[in-house]
Amino acid sequence: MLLKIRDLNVGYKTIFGKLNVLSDISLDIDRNEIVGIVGESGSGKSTLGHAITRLLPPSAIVSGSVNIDGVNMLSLSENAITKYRGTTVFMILQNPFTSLNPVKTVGYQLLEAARIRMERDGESWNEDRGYDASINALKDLRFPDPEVIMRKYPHQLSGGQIQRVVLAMALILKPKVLIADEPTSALDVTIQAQVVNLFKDLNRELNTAILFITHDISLAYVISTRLVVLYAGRIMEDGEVDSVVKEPMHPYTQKLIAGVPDMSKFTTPDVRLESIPGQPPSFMNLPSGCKFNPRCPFVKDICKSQEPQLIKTDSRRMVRCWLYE
Amino acid sequence: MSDLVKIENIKKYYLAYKIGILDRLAGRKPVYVRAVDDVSLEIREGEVMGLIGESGSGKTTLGKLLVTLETPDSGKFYFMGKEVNNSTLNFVRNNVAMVFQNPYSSLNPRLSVREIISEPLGHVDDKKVAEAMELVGLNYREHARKRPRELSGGQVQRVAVARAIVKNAKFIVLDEPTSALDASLQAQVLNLLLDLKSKLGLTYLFITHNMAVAYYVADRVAIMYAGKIVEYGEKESVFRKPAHPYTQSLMASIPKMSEKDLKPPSGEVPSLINPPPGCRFNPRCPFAMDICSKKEPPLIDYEGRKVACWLYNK
Repeated sequence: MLLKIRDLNVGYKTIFGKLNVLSDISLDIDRNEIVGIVGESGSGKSTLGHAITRLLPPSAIVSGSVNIDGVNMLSLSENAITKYRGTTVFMILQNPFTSLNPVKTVGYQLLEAARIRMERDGESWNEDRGYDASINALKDLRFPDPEVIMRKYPHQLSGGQIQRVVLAMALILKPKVLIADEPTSALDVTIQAQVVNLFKDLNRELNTAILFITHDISLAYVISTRLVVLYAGRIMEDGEVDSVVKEPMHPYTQKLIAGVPDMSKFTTPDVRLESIPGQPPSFMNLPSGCKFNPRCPFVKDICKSQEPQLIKTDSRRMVRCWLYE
Repeated sequence: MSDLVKIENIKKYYLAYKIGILDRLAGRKPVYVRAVDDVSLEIREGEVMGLIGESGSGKTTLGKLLVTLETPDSGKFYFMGKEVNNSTLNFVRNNVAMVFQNPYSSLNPRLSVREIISEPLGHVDDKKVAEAMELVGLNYREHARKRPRELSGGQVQRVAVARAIVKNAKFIVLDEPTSALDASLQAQVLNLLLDLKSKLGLTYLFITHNMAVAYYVADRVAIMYAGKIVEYGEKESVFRKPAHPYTQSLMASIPKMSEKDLKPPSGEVPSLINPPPGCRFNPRCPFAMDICSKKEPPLIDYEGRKVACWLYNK
């Protein structure tokens, strides 16, 4: 197993007491897996990504372990973790305009990535080879004139171009684990489709494990091999993408899939979309028992008093719901 | 059904950058962004017209032209059979409204919900506010005195919709009303909009980049690319059998829960300052012919829709 997360808890201390944003997350992700992490906003998807890369603010209280290739990311000091960021774990952030340094050219930032890759491979820095590697990465991302892009500043590029530059950086660094936090939400459908295909190529060619965080289930279906559904900071369902989408077990997953406008559903012109009643809960004030119980159509007495465990229903499928216990 | 809105060969160009007096002395010519270039479209009474396009294709500009927030540089615009000019402007403005993409930035954060909703009326009328709020599913007593920041994204967008319907507008331009919302809220707001339409007999122009959303709400759809409408017609014929190569590649780019492979077009949307000659899609088109880079294709009738492509113009 490449990435092993065990009992990961992330909380924040506030004047109202401790807020638990992630509770008991355990996940195993292998090389060449693409795992889609889906959930509504405020379900803790991004917090999970930031916890793995150790990018959480200092006020966060983190417990549990995150092992990548046998190294526990959470036990490393701030100095030691920088040696792992980039080549071991790499994160693509949601907003492309804040992910590059605005006062350095794209070339400068790509060469920096190339230098880090070479140094960590134990080679000495050779700028010509670094330049070639950067140009090749940009060519792989279908930039028609990479030399021009190398001289540009981030503000001169469009959102789609910057997101591809960040992906080029990932191509140069060849990370073991790539975390992509809604990397395409600022992009148009055609550019999004291009980027999705690039992710798949990256995964195939370099065996990079990818955590693809998104709120769009159709997009997660297209890109990933496995789907993890988060709600209120808990894993509600986990399984192969086809089985989860075709036969969702958890009522939340069922509702989530029923509410997505997806072309495959519109076989007749008068299909009506279902919506989930109510609002996602606030972390300040989580319901007792199962966190989905106030919005669940199948709610029973036990759901309100006791929280269900994440149970295995077969070798590759897990669900957190009293209906299956 | 009669045409509620009709536009003919409408153009809207913006200056790409300011031309100062020194530039003019140096003989520099003004450079234009051709946001909407020679577009004709009619919207029938009581229908939902979906306007689909990528960012920078001019769809928001077209929406603004139709609610008279922008004036066209040339072309004709008819609203309910009357030509829109200075003397009919007030009549048009009484009958149109627009809902914007981000409700938090389109509503005044210092006003309460009841003040926001009564803004188009010119005075606070609690009876009308309460009616409008009930129609969009908000509780007057609970929410009327709140400010936008105290409401959730779905609720704020409902307030924006309430403001659009409070004056009994007949035609509403919805500019990506759900793209800032979560999947579960998106379905709620879309269903609300459809209910309102049948209850109040409204006509919508629904601007979106999401094809599935457009299919769900629209009766007819128009596909925009680089300031031009490349295809429009009944949604069934456009979605089931897209004719224009751009529409086809757009269809192949949407993630669906039935197909794992995406086949996007190569390259990027061209700049509107200097669009390619001939058909604007020709540099990315897999079927490009000689004529495509020389002459612009006109919109012609083809199997229940209009399409601008030389493939069908023999």
